[in-house]
Amino acid sequence: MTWTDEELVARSQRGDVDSFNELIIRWERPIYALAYRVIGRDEEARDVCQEAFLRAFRALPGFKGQAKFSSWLYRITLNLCRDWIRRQRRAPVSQMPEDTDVLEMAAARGPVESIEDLVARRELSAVVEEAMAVLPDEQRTAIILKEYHGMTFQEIADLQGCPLSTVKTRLYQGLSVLRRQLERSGRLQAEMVKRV
Amino acid sequence: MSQLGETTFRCGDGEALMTYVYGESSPAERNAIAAHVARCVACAGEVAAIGSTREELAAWTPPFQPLGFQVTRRDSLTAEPESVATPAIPPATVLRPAAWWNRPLPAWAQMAAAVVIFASGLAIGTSRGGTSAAAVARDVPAVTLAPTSVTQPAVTHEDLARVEQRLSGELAQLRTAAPPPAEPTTAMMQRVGQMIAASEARQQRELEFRTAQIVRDFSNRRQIDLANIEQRFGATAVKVLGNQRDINSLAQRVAYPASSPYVP
Repeated sequence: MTWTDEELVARSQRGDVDSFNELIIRWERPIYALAYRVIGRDEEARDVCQEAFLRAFRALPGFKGQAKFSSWLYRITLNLCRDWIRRQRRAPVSQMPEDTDVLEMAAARGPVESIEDLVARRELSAVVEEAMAVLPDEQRTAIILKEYHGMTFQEIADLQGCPLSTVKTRLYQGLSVLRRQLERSGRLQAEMVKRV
Repeated sequence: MSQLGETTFRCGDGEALMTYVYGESSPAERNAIAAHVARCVACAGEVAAIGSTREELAAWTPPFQPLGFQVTRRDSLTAEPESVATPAIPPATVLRPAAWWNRPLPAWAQMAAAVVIFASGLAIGTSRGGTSAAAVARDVPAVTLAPTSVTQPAVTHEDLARVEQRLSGELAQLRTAAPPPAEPTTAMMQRVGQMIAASEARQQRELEFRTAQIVRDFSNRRQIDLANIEQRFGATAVKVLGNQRDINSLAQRVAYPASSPYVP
């Protein structure tokens, strides 16, 4: 039987640690992905993810369920990311690309994906990551929440604590900057030419 | 400016374009924007560019790292069962999964290993006559190092025979006093069995949740893809309609030039 988040939260609040561990299993991947995309570093994203769950666990008795558990968890994670970014303000956000290991890549590729495709995908991923690193924090976070976590404008506004129109403006401006960055790197033209 | 009923769209309104692109505008707004985009080259280009950028964004995936965070109680072995009436959550820690070679064995495996080592130790001890190294060390007189002297009396054969006899007697006593090898108790085996069952149940539960998570992720991705396809299809259809309208207009102009006496 699969419990809902609300049921698992209620059980956790009664002291059932296993239930909270099930919530972790359910949400650790999205939370890690959010932290990774916001701060851009794997190791630090894991730290943020761990800290987020720890804080959530400790604050669980005070969680009254006004918001969804996931929204609450996202808020904790974003606050931690914001703190991390403030501390690292002078450090570059994007991580230097690591050395490419062809064997490792071969093991990581999908069943129908060629090595060439995989290399191209990784290159594109790195290009997008670099372009995202240029954006201001609020714009980047808004784009991440919208594009990768499928949130509505209202949910993003609640999380970021700003009016709905601000979220739309952040998204529009962020996507515009991103487009220019991708065009500069030659990605977008290539994609559009390919389509034509 | 495009108008449909009470809904209007100002050319180049980024916020409105966002709601349109992400499918969060009301039907009236959507129609107004679609109608405008169909005849405004700048806005149509903007919508297409936003779509292309969003497609590129899909390529950015975080590294797939094994996570497996887990909350464990520090006092799990000694904690008293908690009362439902006092739902205070004890201090806990979230542990990061260690590398497999550093990862601690499951409790049942540790217990099984301990039983095997214990039984092996007993078997070896019995085969050696039941005398442990500690017991021998305890019975051997303490030896202190001192400078040897030429005047010191030499050890005789009688002395050695006496010492050998004394040791033999003590060894015989130890053999008779050695306790019989203890069998693993039924309670311990039951405990091991329970731990194995609990561990398997936990793994099963974890597997179920992982599977559910994968299915959910897949379903979400599918929905997003479907929405994207639908949206792109809609934009293309609008563009095709616009083109068709332009072609009709051109055809009309060719068929009935301004100087033609057939122009109505």
